[in-house]
Amino acid sequence: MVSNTEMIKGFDNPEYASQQVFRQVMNAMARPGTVVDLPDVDTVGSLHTASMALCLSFFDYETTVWLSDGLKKNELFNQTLQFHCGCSITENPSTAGFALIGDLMDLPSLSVFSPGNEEYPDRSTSVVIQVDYLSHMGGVRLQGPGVKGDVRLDAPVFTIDFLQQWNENHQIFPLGVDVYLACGRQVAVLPRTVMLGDVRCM
Amino acid sequence: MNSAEQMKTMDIERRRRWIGLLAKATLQELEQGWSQIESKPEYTFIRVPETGQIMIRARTGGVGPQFNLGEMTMSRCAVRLANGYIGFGYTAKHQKRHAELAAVFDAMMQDPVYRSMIETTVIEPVADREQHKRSVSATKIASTNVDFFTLVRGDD
Repeated sequence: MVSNTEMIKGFDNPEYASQQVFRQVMNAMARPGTVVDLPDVDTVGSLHTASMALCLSFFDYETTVWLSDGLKKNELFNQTLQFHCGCSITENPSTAGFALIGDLMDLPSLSVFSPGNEEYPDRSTSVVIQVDYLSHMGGVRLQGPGVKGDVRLDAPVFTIDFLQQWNENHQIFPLGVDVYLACGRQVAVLPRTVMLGDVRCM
Repeated sequence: MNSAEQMKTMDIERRRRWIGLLAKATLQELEQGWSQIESKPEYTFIRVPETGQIMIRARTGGVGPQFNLGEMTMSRCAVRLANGYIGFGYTAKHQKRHAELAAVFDAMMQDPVYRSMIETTVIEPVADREQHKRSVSATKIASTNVDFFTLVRGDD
């Protein structure tokens, strides 16, 4: 009857912290390229603090989540999701409400995820990708609604291949996935409306 | 069922009983039990005490399809003792402290060091009180018991 002694705790103040996450992510979504800080929280293994904060705030018993290989194998993380969020894990990325990519190596093509449908474009998959750095210095140029002036974002995810996939994703608006880049406690959002281009330092 | 599984089922049954009793205890009973512990264990929250609504689901006659019966208030909490035992507390009240203490006692009940003490100071008194409550209401009901019977009719 010995319980798992490693089980991690959730937010110290769930109401306050999760509303802070919603507020910050909403700002990041409205102003693509903005890097916001999320509240601090304990985390598991290779999971970044921001990813954990997103999970604890966004996932509930009605959420289906697709996990990349590395995360799927992380027993403790799966238990934590089960305990704190009660979300269901799916093997099929095209039905997932959220996808969590622990490592860029595990990132599948964006087209495997659900772009939503004509009646409900909001039912697309929100893809959370963990990256090793997020910076305003150099990188790709963002254009579109909510972007004023020369806004740039640099992260290891912006490969030629990814930019092409992103372009295709942008073309199918109002359908398409939204991407959350998580690094440490920071998050930047790429809504489907944003255009990426003009790579300066790659 | 092999013996290991049997052990597990027994453990689950026993834990189910004490978690149930901890939920039915009054806050006063729990506080009293807590104050009697000399070396109180240190604990941290895995899930901070919170109060919310839960949906009660039911089946007509226990067999029909599930439907939402209604909502009720509930407080819950999960703690981890310094020695690693994890406890869960639930109560059908708007009482975070109750959920917290119930969780701590659940964790302590799993720890052989504390078990017998918690059993005598908290669990059994609650069990006795519940038993007493039940027998009182059973007696009350029994006194108004009516046996219906029908005389044989139609025969001359």
